[in-house]
Amino acid sequence: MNGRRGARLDELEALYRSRFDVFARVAASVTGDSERARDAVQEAFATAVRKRRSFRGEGPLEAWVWRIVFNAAHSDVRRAVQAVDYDEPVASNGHPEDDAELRVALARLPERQRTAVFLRYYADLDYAAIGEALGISAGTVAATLNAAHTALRIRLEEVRT
Amino acid sequence: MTDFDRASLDRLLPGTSGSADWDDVMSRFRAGHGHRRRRMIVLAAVALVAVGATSAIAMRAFVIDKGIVGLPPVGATPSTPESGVLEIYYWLHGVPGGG
Repeated sequence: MNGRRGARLDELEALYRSRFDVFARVAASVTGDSERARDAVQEAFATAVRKRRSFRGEGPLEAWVWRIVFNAAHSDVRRAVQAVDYDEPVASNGHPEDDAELRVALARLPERQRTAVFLRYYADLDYAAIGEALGISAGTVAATLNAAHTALRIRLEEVRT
Repeated sequence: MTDFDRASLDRLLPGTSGSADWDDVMSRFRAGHGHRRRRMIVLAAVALVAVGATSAIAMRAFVIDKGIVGLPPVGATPSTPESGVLEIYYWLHGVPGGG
């Protein structure tokens, strides 16, 4: 938090190059399609470049870009009017049964909880950055993740008993 | 803590389609920039036409309808001067007709 105004182009490029996969894969959890998720990320970074002078530096640059990525992904979903289908099987390279249970449990979470889970445990953002990305306070992030944990635990226990 | 970690989420999320392409980002940025610029030009042109048309209408009302050029108002009768004397006033050094 350095309170500066504006983001530099080279910073955005570095962020894009280092985190493209993470952005694209989490965006796919919103769009339900990896190709459209990639398109959303490309559009989001083009928007970030265009609006880079409006970055106020109140939080990390990555959190600011995440917010733009989610906006782009949601715009894509609104245009496509296609819900994310978590029931559709995807290739699993680990534990197919556990993955299936977790997939169903995640699919039943409200979108904000699901997104918070991906940002915390996949994108590895801290609470403040997640709050910046989702437009909510860090306290609300904590409550959201707590609710997600509780819901996932209950559902996974239901499945396994 | 629940039974998920980064590895399990990694397995659940769809794979990335394509690779990072910063040049594509910049070309989208430039395309969007050009689009906004064109839109601003069109809006400016529309505003200019609107101002021009409004001015033209106002001038027409002033010049033609108010009588500077054109016919006198309906019902008006031409007046006749009582005498044919032409009076000319001039000012010189602040005194009318003075020297």
